[in-house]
Amino acid sequence: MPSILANRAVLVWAVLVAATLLSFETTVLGNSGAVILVVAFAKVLLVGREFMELRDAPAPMLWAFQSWVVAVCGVLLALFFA
Amino acid sequence: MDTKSTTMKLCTYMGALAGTLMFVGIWPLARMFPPLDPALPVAQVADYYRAHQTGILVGGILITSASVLFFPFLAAVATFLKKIEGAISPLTWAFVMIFAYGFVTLFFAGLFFTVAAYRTDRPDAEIAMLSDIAFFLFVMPAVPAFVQNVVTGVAILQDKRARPILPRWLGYMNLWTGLLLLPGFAVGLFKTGPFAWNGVLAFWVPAVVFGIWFNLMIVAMLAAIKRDALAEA
Amino acid sequence: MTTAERRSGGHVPGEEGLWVFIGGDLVVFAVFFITYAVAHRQEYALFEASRRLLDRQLGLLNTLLLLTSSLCMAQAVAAVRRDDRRARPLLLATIALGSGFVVVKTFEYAAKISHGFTLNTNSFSIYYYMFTAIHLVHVLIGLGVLCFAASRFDKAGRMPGGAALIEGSGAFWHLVDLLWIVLFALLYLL
Repeated sequence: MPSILANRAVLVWAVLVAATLLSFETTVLGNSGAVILVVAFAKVLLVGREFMELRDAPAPMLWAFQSWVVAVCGVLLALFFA
Repeated sequence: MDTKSTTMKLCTYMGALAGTLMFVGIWPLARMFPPLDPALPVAQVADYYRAHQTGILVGGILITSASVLFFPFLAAVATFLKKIEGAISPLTWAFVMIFAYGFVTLFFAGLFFTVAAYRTDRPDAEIAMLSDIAFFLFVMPAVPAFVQNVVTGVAILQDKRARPILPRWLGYMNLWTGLLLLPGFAVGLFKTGPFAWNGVLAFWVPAVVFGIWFNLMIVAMLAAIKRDALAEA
Repeated sequence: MTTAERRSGGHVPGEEGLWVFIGGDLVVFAVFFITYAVAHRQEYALFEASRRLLDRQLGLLNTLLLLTSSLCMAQAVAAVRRDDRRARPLLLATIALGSGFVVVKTFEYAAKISHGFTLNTNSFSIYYYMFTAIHLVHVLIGLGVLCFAASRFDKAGRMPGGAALIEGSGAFWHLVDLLWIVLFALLYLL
């Protein structure tokens, strides 16, 4: 039976947790709000593509989602840091 | 009555007519769109009603009329829900009661706008209070609307036919609409900010979402009438 | 994804109508996020000062709880697809972790309220409470849906109706996780 401890989902989770902890420890990322925001949306992209399985979904769905991620992240970056 | 009847189509179109009348009543006439700022001082509220008296009185007539003209549309929706549920139809009954309840409050909102504008020599505080009542009657229907949307969504999604009477996306759309109306519950807590009765989240989002809901319901229902869904098993 | 699915253009997890709902939710939360960002820009000092009152550790804990519950959810869906009996315990773990989120949130609210930081304290508090509360409603709905899915397992630990229900429930649950990731960054970190 496939392992539930050593598979792609666990790898994705590990990346998400690492990114979360790094964002939290502002000393590591040097207090950069913009980096924190971009990392958050990178996590969102990962959750959508991997956990929500959008990378296997029909192309229009995947692209709608990815466009949302880029657009919202962009607008928020501009409003917070421009 | 025949299932492709003109009456069903007319009832459905009534929704569009009623919606338009209500919108005209609220916006160009009564100038209540967007709603008055809840943080406005009492004297300014009263002056607003005095300054726009005729518009508000005529708007009040349109709002009260529109509230009633929605009912044939709701009856058309209920006819669909009844068809979906069949003989045992608790959700249809729930829908009818909740929606009637919600649109009567709209009638009273129109009424209170009228009363507030009716006598310009009323003291400021009285006019402001009548105005408050009118706005709450206008916005608090988010509460029954949420329940109505959940009931409608669930009813549509419970359709077990191979070809559902109403499309499944409409059921999900109803649930989404209901969720987005939720911020409207909170208007009593706020006089400013996004959750006040004129706020982005408690007014604009629900208003836009309600408009979208209306249009999509009409489109889906007309399509179902056209393919004679009510005659199917 | 099977070769047939790849050829036919992809697999929709759950059913299509559900994605109308998910897409709509993403649009609306985008409006929420942007409204918040505008307010933050207008009242920067107030928002910065108020943000520091939030308990970042609890926020972090909640994020980790949801991320891990999403992991369990993804594993549960994969397990259902291959008729693996571990699907149900994985789903139950998802529900447990999600419930943990609710518990932590309740403590967090209670602590804030007892310190006098309530709904109408200032404009930041309005956003904090309202957005996290609306998110919490999503969490509760998600938990309800997951409990329903958990009830559909048969005695052998398989799901008779096929994977669509658990895929769809999973998609909604991951949405809940995704929205929190952004909320955590906006409200607690930035």
